[in-house]
Amino acid sequence: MSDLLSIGSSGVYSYQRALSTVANNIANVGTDGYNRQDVAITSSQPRDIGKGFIGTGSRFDGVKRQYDAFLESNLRNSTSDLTGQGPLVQFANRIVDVLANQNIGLTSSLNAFFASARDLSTSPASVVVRGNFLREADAVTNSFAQLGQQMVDMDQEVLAAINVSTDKINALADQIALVNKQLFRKSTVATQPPELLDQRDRLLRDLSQIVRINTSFTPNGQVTISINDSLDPRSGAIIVENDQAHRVLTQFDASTGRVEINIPFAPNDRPKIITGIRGGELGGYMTIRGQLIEPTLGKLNELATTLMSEVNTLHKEGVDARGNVGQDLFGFEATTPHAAINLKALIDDPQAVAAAAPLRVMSGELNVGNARATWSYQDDSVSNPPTLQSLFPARIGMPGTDVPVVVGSLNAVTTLAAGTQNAVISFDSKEAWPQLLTRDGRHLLGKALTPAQQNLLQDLPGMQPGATYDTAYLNTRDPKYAYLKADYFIGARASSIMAPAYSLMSDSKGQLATVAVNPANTPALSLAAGDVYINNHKMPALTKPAGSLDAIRNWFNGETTQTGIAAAIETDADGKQQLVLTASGGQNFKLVGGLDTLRALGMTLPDDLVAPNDQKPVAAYLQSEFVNASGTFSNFALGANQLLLNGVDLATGLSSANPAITTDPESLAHWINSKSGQTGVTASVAYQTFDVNGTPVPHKSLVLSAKDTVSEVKLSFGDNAPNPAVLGQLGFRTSLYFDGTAPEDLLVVANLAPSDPADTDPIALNVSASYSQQSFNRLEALRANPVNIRFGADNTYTIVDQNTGTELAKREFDPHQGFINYQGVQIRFAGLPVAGDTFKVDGNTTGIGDNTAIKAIAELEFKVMGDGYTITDAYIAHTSRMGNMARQAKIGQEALAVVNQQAIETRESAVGVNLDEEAANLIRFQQAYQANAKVMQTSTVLFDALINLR
Amino acid sequence: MKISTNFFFDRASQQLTRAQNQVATTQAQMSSGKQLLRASDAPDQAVAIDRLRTAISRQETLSDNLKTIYRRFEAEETALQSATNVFERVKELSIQAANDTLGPKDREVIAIELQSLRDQLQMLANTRDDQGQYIFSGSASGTMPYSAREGLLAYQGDQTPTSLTTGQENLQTFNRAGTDVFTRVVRHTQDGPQGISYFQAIDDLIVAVKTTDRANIQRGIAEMDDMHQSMAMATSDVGARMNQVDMQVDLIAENVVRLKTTLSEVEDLDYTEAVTRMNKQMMALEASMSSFAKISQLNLFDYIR
Repeated sequence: MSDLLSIGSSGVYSYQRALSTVANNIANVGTDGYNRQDVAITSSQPRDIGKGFIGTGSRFDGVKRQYDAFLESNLRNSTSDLTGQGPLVQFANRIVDVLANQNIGLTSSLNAFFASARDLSTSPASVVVRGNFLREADAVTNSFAQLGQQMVDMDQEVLAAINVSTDKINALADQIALVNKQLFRKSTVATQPPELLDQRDRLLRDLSQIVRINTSFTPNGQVTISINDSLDPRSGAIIVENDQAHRVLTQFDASTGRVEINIPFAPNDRPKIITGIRGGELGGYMTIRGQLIEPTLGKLNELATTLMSEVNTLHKEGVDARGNVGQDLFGFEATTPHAAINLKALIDDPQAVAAAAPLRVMSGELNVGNARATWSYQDDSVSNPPTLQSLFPARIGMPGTDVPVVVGSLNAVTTLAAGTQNAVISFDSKEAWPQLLTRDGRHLLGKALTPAQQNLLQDLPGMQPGATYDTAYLNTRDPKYAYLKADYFIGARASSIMAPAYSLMSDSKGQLATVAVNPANTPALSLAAGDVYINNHKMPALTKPAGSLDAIRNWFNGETTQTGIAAAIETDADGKQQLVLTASGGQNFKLVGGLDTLRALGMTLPDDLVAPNDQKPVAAYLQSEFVNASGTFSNFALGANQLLLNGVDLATGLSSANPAITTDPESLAHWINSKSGQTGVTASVAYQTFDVNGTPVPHKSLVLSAKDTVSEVKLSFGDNAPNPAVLGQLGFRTSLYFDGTAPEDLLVVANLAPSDPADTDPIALNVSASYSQQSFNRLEALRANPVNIRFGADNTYTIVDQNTGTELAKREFDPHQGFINYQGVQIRFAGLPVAGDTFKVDGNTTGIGDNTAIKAIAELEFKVMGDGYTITDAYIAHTSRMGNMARQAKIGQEALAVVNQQAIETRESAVGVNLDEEAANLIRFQQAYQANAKVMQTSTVLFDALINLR
Repeated sequence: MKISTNFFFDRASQQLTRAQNQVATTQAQMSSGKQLLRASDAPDQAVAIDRLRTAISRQETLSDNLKTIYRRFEAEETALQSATNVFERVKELSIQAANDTLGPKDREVIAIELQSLRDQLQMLANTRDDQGQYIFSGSASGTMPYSAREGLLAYQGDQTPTSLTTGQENLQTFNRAGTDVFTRVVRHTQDGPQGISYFQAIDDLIVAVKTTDRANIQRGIAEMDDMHQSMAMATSDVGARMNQVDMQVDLIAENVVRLKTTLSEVEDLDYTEAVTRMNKQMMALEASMSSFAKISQLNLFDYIR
């Protein structure tokens, strides 16, 4: 009986709890992240009554939270995948909308730019159309800048979003760590409060929206979270473990443009920088940077750079309306790291647009023939024989080291490349002639070639095919009649130079004074002529005895008529004297000399005079190498018209009675001095008294010094010189001098000139060189020097420089070939030129109606670049690529939405609350409760029945 | 499978939103008349539209360029026509001067007229176009082609041809060197053939007429033929080129129409299709709204009394 009651009451007790659970489910029907709860009711332990078992009622086992770990993790992952796709779709769409926009997209501005170039090609002379072209060039740069800026702005936006994402991650990680802490109290998950677990799962779901996570759970429900695929502490990116949350930070590296997510305070055994982040908004944003924004910016920068270099190359090959060569049309203003934003149009003067060709060829108006000519240009600089620059690198303005060369009957040595300045090429051989020729066989320096050598000339590297030999400009002394009026020389040469010196300026009264001294103490002094200059006047030699200043005063006053400076001696009370120089008109003057000289004269030197502050002329000075140890010339014979000093034949008047000069340097110096009236040169002998070991040796050297009357000392060959030995035996190297700028590639060749004609074996000799160099534009040089091509009889033609009248080339015309080449310019004839026809090639300075260059720029529109696209097509292709990505992202988003929807649906069906279900349960449990209550009532009734038994 | 109450409502609202979006998109298409509202709606079509627009603008530029050239040809034709007329009068007069019945006085009168005609020819050779550019100066269009330099009348222009190209094909050469119109004559002298400039030849003729140098008048008349020939060739050349340009302009116009038709097909909205689509979408929206309203009212609690 009591059993019945306890059975009933156990039921009532169980279903009461069941009803409250249902009520709780109903109450939480709208609660986010609520997992439906179920009650577990089991039957109690039956009682053994011997013949069987009697049930003892039901037992409430507890509330069970409906949960499926697999479904949860499935939902989290699909959520990460889906949310990652969202920003991707959004930004891909934005980029496509910007790139393909009719107004700000690049296509329309590029179209307009090329269209304006084409317009200009139909009216090259119109200033209005030129201006329009410049406006469109500007518009293209604006378009680039706008697009580039849009991308940079988007990038900033994404960076900000990444920062927000990491903040969210940190906030959620903190909360989860807190939940973990609370979960720590119980040892199994079954005993944990369901609401706490709900909260944990909700936070994990929230976290998975931001980034795809990897989780593991302890038996009591605590979770460890990593934001990449690994949970291994050494490679993973664990942000929550136990009750610890590790903060993540965004780090933007401005130099590489990359974003890194790192955990700055991770335990020591772990990586700081996290790789392999994907999914969620964070993964989405990182993908956007890497796959959308960076490639787009990169493409824009690439296109901007291509456009700039292509257009500039063509523009600089053109000529503007003023006849000048074009400048850069586009350039970069280095304000940002992005070429697209930096691109600027540099020209704003319409007349500076280079629309015309740099050269043109015109047939003479009165040509009898009907031939018309066209031109093309291709740089044909000579590289074999090697240029001076490659043989003597970095020898600018310095004497070069020796380079060995083998010389036979005729050998190419080096190329004096166009643009090389003040070249000096020295040969140490006595038995080989250095020669300088143009590529067209004009012989400039050296010894005229024999017919046999002329035949060899054709086959030398660097020679123009069909070149003919000519000596009209050989060793020309007067530049007026020289090849292209250039200044060139063979032999040995020295010029007067301006050397560094010190100068003292007079004071405001036009006076300069020495230090007051006791005249008796002044030492003797001797100065050479030219040691001191007053203004530009050269002071003569001075010899002053010790003990008086009078000699210095007289020396100054002796030149007063030329200098306008008078000297006077002033004596003070102590008997000290000083010299005062006064300009007659009180004007300023300066005293120039060496520091020691000025000091010896007793001048007051200002403290700041530590470095040379002026220059003074130093006479030309030529010193030979030291002749042999015996101090005599060996084998030196001087025939008539072999060796000229400043143009004077040194052999003139030399009688066989004076043979000493052929062996004795002193005698030769004496002989040269006897001619100094004509040559303006004095000779002396210098002795090298010690060798490197300090042993006295009688080596001698010939020194030639220019007098005031001449500025140069020049030793050159007479026509009778058999070989350079006449110079070499005096200890001078034979050098080729080309002053100023070489106008074209010149060839340096050498041939044997042995003393014994039977001796034809090639010899080795040394070559050294010095030169300087400035940038040189061959095409510019051709433009500046127009030439006339004149056809003569017998199919020959000459090319003549218009400015100087120099005949540059004379060749035979091959009518089958129909073209001629000169310095890289190819002139092609339509129709045959006849004798007397002339063609003029010039720099196209008046051809303002010519559209060659601008047409080439317009044609860039169709030029296929390295990547196989035209500029416009490359842009459109990139837009299309971005479009495809947008579409793929969209398709991916739709597919992932379905997956996510399914995951939600599955989870909801497993753990969600359905009101109808709850209503049914409510009725079910209510009825069970009522029935149990009835059981209890029944037991009472039964008990009453027993009690009332009478 | 159990449908949780939350899920049921969530899904219903998502579906309604989607249906409403579709209707709104169709409505926006109908009001703009464009198939594409934004490039991202259909990137491939946007790119196609971009290409078509590029092609159209190229053709239109080309057409404008050809029209510019045509205007230049017109100026050239006019000048050539006038020069030919003047030249024919020169020829007439020189034949008249060769007539033996004329006396020296008559020839002098002829010479005076010849001189003024020659000056007129020089003026025509220096004709400028509407841009102020010399038309018979080759590409040196800013330089007066026939002006005396050091007392001699020599051609100052050049012979660089300027042409209009599109991509690969060379479409038109559109300038002319004076030497192609006022061409030198070849005179055979004792020293062999010698080139004599156009105006020099006329000047020589005038001197011959003045001095009644019959041999040289005859020589001048013979040279006139060569000179006439080159002028006639230039005139017919301009005419031919004008015809060509005309044809090219027409061809381009056809091309543009064709391209624009294609563009319209890609870019513009097909209204019939759009209206049908709109109706369908509205029907679907209405159906889902009314079904949702009905289903959402079903609830077991309502039946528990």
